[in-house]
Amino acid sequence: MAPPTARHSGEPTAPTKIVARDVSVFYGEKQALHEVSLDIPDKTVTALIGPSGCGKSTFLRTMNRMNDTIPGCRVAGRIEIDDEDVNARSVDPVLLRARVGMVFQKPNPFPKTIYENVAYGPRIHGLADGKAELDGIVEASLKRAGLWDEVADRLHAPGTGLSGGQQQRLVIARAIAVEPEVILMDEPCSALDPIATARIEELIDELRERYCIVIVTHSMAQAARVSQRTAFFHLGRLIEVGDTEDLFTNPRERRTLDYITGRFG
Amino acid sequence: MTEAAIPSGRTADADAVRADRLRSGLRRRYARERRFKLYGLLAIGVAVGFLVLLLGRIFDQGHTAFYAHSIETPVYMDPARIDRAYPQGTNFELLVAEQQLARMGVQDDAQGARAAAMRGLFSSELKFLAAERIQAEPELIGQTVRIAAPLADDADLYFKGEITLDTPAAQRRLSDEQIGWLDRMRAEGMVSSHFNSALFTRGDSTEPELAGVLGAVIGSALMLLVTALIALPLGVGAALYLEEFAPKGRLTNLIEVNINNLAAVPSIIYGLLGLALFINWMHLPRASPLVGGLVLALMALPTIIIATRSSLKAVPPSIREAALAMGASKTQTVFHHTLPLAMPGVMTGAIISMAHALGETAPLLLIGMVSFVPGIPHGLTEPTGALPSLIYIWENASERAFHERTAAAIMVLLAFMIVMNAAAVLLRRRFERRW
Amino acid sequence: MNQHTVKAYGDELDQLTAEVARMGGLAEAQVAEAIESVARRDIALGRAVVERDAKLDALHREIEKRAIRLIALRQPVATDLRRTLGAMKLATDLERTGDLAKNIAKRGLVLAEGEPMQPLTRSIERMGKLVSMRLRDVLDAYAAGEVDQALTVWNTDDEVDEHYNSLFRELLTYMMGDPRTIGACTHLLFMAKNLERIGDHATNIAETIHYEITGEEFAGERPRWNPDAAEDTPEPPTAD
Repeated sequence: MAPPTARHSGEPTAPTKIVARDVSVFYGEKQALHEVSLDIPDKTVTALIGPSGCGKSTFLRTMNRMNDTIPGCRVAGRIEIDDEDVNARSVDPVLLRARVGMVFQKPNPFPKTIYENVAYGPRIHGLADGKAELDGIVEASLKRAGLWDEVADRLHAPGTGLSGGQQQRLVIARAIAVEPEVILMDEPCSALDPIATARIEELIDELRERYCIVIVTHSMAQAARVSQRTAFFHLGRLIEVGDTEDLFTNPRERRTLDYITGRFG
Repeated sequence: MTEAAIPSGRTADADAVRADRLRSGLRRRYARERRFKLYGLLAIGVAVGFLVLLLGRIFDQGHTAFYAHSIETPVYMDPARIDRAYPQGTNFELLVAEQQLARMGVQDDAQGARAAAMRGLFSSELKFLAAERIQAEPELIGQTVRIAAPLADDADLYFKGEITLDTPAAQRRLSDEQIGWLDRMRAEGMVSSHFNSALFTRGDSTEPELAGVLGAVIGSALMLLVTALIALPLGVGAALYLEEFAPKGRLTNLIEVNINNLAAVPSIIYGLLGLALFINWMHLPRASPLVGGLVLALMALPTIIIATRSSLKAVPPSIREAALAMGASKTQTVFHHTLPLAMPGVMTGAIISMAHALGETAPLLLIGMVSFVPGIPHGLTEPTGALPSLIYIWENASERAFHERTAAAIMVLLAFMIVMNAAAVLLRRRFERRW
Repeated sequence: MNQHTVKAYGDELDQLTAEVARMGGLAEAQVAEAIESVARRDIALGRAVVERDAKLDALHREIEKRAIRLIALRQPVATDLRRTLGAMKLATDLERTGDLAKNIAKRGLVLAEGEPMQPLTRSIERMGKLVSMRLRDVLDAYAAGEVDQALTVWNTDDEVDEHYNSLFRELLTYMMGDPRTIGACTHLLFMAKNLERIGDHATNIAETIHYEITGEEFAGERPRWNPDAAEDTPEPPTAD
């Protein structure tokens, strides 16, 4: 019996940025992701939801090839960003990760100064000529992440001295300092209190005007608040993807309905 | 309706029983805790007791080595006995002894035994000092010059109370007569006591009063330098490669097991290896800091590798992931992030393994550092002593005065190690604060 | 359908629906008894209907409270959200229906003091029975979750209009014939209007049921009785 195909509904209005076709991921013998095909539009927030272990984080990590760092992990299928296969031999993962930034669940600023955190990316990729330009990039990134006002007077204080919410905004500033095209977020708010979460969500809303954002979240309410497109994963398969509004008022798949209304298990 | 039959209800009786159980259990738990704390205190007490005992004994034995007695004698540069052309050929020892006897109004016997006895109270240094003086200023011939020189080791021990009249004369190293002379000289104010700088400024010597640790200290320092220069880069580099870059597999596991085992190999085996490899096969100079450093480097290498690896392992993977996700290459991640964060552990491991190597004696004995080496080493290829082997040599020496000096040398070695360990702690704390 | 993982949530939804069903039954009874009190000139029955309307209002407030609580505390989505909203809308429609029934009964009390007007009250009775039946059908459809049944009711909205228009002409004729009946006929006219609006509410309920079950907005024009285009009006499937 052929595996059921996922339900795709609604037409995204923005051009497609990332195309995934039949993506499968294997950890040794175990298959974590089964032939996932998904289109992710640009300048939009796409949320990946699903119960624990459904493969949404695994799928997220295929887009910046972070799965390469896990020994024994194999990726099959095509993932194209702007029509370029990210797994092609000619693509250097280091350069790919300058185009695709990532924000993790637990804020992980480097144990350096705030300035150094944001400047690290531009520095190693050689994006700034001279200190003045680097200063400009740092300031612009911190402003865009909504952190500038709070840290402008202490740029050389350690980044780890900030609060959780501030650290996460610092990490976002660090990610956008290299001017990526895509920002991947893996449960960015799960370690934060509600007020910090709200600020990050507001930030995501602002950021989507410039970047393609894919966010993994286990809070459906957050997915509903923050995203325009939502994809539901279950047991390593994509079950349904559609406009967020439609998926949360009238999902087409029974499993999606059960999950979002809390009828699972 | 029995109490037992109700699953979710709690009756007052059941509650009371439960409270009783909790209380009595609590007493037992607290008693166990108190006993455990007592055992801990006892263990610490025993350990501290032994430490105090050890250090106390060493200090007790060695503190007298830090001061020494000198004597200032007027020396009449008798022109009849000093050859103007070759003043250093003069037998100054006999000259001074005879003059001293004369000053004290003591008649020498036919064999000159008394002069010999008097001569025995002065250090051989005296003749060198006198010779130097007369060479430098030949016009002093015919005049009386006051020269200060250390007392011989036995005389020094007498004044320190180590040699007393209580022991029968036959077993004493100083005769009653000599003791009498010493008392007189002291009464005349010729004897002074001062800090024994010779201990720290001179190399090894057969004369205890002229023996010092400087040669051995510099020898040890040179060896440590060689060890550090070889073991640190190799060890840290190997650990970095094994931890970060090597593919995980059977070969890597095999290497890891072997390195762990090497850390437990007795140090004398390394000495044998050094003898066979560096001295017999590569014909490197025996007992040189070069060979000593190489052998100690081999010894320190496994420890450094293990300490570095565990520090690297302790760096949280979130930092590595963050760096990789920024587009840092593997090498950049390791050198910009992982290694700096692992630095406290790496430094501690390095310094502790250095401190350990500093105190190793067995390998040094096998590569030849067991012989007497006077003077201060100037290079890596000259034969030298090292502190541990110096201690070994002094302990086996026959002169009584070396006992206190052995203990003093041990104190110097301990001080060295305390300083190195303190440096390790300070450095670690300083780096840890930043992260 | 699976149970909610949090049982209390599922229970709250079920209770809400049960309240709506109860309110529906009460509204249905109010309409039926109001019509009966007019037809039989039963003053006691009429008064009972008037008094019982307060109960309907209380139920409406209760259902609103429950729905608001559900939304605030459970943040329902998809089917649960539509069910909650549907319950609120139904409650509003039923409360209005109850008010209209009360109004009919009140006017009936006034009519009962005057001369009986048999043919007219019989017309009212016929219209009332149709409206009552449609209301019952749509509430059954809600309880059973039957979209088709609701759609049937939705399609027969024009029948009610037909009755209303013919009653309108009848009353006009009566009033023009005997001016002494204008007072009573006006009451009857209002009653007819009320019944027509009860019919509209039944149609509203049908639309709500459709949205709740299918999740799609109703995209149709309500059938209107058009005397000039008799062929165009859709044939209602047989109701009874």
